[in-house]
Amino acid sequence: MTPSVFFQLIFNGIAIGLVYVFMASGFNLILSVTGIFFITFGMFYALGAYSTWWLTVQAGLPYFGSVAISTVATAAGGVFLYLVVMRKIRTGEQAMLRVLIASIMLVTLLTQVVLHLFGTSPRGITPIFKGHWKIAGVVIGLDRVAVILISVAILLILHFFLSRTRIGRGMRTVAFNPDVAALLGVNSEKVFITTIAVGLGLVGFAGGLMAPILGIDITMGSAGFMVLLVIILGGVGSMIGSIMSGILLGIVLAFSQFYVSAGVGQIIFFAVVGIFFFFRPGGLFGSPPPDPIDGVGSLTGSRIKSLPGRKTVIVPLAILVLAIILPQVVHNSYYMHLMILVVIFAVTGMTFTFGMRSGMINVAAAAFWGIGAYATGLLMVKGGLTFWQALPLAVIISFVLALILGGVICRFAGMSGMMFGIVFSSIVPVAFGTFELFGKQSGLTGIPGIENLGFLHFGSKASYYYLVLAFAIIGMIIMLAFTKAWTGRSWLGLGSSQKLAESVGIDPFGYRVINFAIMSVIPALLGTAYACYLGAIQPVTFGPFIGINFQIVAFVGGLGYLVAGPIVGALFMTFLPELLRVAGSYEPIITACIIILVIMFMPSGIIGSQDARLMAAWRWVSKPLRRAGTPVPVPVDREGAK
Amino acid sequence: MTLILETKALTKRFGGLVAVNSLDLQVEQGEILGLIGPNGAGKSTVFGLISGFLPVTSGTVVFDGHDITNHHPYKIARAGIARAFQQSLTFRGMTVLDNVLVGFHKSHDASLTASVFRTKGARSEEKELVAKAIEILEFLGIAHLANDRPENLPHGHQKALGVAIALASEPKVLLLDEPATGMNPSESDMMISHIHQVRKRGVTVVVVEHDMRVVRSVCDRLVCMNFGEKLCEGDPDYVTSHPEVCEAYLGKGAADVA
Repeated sequence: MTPSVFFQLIFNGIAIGLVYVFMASGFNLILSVTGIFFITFGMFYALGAYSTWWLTVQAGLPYFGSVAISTVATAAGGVFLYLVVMRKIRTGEQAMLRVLIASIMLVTLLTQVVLHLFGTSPRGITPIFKGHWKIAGVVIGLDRVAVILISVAILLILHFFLSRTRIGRGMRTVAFNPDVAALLGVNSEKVFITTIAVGLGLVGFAGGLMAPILGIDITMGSAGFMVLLVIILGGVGSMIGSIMSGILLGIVLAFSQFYVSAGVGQIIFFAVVGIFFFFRPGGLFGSPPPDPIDGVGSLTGSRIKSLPGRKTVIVPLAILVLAIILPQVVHNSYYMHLMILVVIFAVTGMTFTFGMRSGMINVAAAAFWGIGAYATGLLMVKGGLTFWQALPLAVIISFVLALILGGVICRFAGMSGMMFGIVFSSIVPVAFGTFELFGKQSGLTGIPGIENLGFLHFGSKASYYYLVLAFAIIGMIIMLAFTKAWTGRSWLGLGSSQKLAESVGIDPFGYRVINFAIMSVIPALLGTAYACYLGAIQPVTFGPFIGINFQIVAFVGGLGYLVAGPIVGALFMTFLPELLRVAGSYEPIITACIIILVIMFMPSGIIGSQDARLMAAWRWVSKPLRRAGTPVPVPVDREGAK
Repeated sequence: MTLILETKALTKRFGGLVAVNSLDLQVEQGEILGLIGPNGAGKSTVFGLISGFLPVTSGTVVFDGHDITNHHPYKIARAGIARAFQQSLTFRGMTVLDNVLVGFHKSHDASLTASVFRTKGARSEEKELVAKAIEILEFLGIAHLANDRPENLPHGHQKALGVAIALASEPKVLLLDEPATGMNPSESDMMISHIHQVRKRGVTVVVVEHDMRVVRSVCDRLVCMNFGEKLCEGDPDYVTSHPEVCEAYLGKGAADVA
């Protein structure tokens, strides 16, 4: 590497890194002041870029005017979403999870809106600053110099705003301690709205600013996931941390893009942050954030029970019989496909509830589903193995990966752990799409079907349905067995209060790693069958926006119900889009809106909100069926007499 | 007389603030030791340091002859130090009975495999634990609430449940952080009798408490702290009438008036 190439890459890296600096600063500001995990900010970056394009190219406004208007528009859009959606769900039951799901659904929603408004093709804006200087072989583009100077100016203004103005100080007070801020007379609502406006304005501004250099397309929204790494590295709430690690990411990307590819750069940065994070949870500059995730496992109002007695096998048995009979009745091949998806969604949704009980918000299920599928596909296509030989190997590979990733995430199960999991779920498809081994973007094709095994013949949709169902039942039994064992109770304790659980001798790290490994290997098991079922797999099938469906499945059904919740949720999530077919291309928008509404207005899910009625109905139905159950031994009330 | 728990020159600094300064504390096997002192004296910090939730700046904690300084909280709990928290911490979302069963964590003899496959041994162990849990709940007078949720219980019962969870871990030493705070006199009477009975089970108790009536009626010995240092120690009558203690609580000159 010549020095000129080196400096050229550093220069380019700083310019690219500024995008991440702006996005990280905006997100970090919102997260630390309002506590809202507004991952939708990636889309605001895209919105800023698209609206700048529209204003300059279509409406013919001058570039800087367009950027200014776009910035204001994105800020206003963010405030609108805050007022309509986030304000309602940011406190109360399962606030953390509901905000996460809602904000990812908003990404889906905004993506569709952008596609409808601005079309699918990539756009570009002619740079305003043309020409370049050449210093000692390094090409210094004027446009990039302008971007750097403007960014420095904006960051200085932001710093001044936060430290000197009244509202800026109010924001920092709220970030420090919202209750104290309220006692001091800080109007937190006003502060929140300002924070959202400033944070998302910054992000939108970055979109407009970088549009002439980087171009515009819809995948910009996913840049949000890499920004999470910047925040993990820089520390939640640290402005200087965001700046330093954003620029570092830009430089890493510039170098890897030059020598290998951008995908490899993302993977390297992910691995480096993972290793770093393992040893220093607080990031480079911040102190470890307070843990808003502690207590996610305590599901008030649900019926978690680990006691003997009061068991009923009738409902699960009826569902099982129904699931087995179904292919004999339904012959429509499309509906069989949907049923396979329902089974996969139900059991993967269950892994989410399973993990949540130990206080983890698992976001990596789709990634492990993909790992299982790709491992099987590779072993069969390139290794020449049969499915039954590939199956155990694929499960072992997934299990080992789950232990490694679990080791990093569970070391600090909390906000940073969750963010790291989200990044992992977006990095895995990137890895599939980057390396030749995985067939890049076109994926693996020509995966052979499953060989017959004794009297088991594979080929029809129904046969795959039965295999997936069998794997799902195995997964379910594993999860239920561990839930009923004393591990289940220790997980529940951890999820409810880590501090108290530790004080009775429960090792949070060890227990969570076991939990993580189990809940990750089950989607991988389903992935093995899925690869053979489809015959061809692509990276997009296993992306983070698919993964969010598993969480929605668990949430929509009701988090308090380990088995029934995800089944109801999976049926809902699979058949809702089918029912909305009539809406044509507006279907994804309507689906996303309905899910957001469910999240806003049904905090305990469909079953949870109907719990009393369902229980009454069940008691009425089951009266003649019920066995003489063994009630929980409650001793006679001796104190109560007085 | 054998020492079960001892701190040697235990020190904790939060930035520039010295919360605990070179504290030597001896706890004898089987006693009920009271730790008193005005707000901010560092009593709860001492509990945090002993149980491993706060990192020790310098000094050592010796439990049962072993150095446990800066060990992970779960290891200290397994060694035999349990803690009931000030803010009546319970496992929300689980029943009262399950709360206590979580506390039995370290007394499972059945292996994980046995428990997962629900072997006969594991099931009978489970039954035994439920019986033991109910026994502890009865002992603390909240057995009739076994199927309720802790978040629905009145304050006094939540505190009792906190003690029940700690007892379930079968500790040698129990650290009680303000067990009677916010209780009415009849509730605190109950707590007093509970603490006496806990000792009868062979558990050494260290209690931090502001309610002097409770302190006088349960403690064998008192240690008074102020500004992170030990002010004096001895039997309750001696300590509570000590002029420096009055001064620490009421200010200079108050001792003369009293």
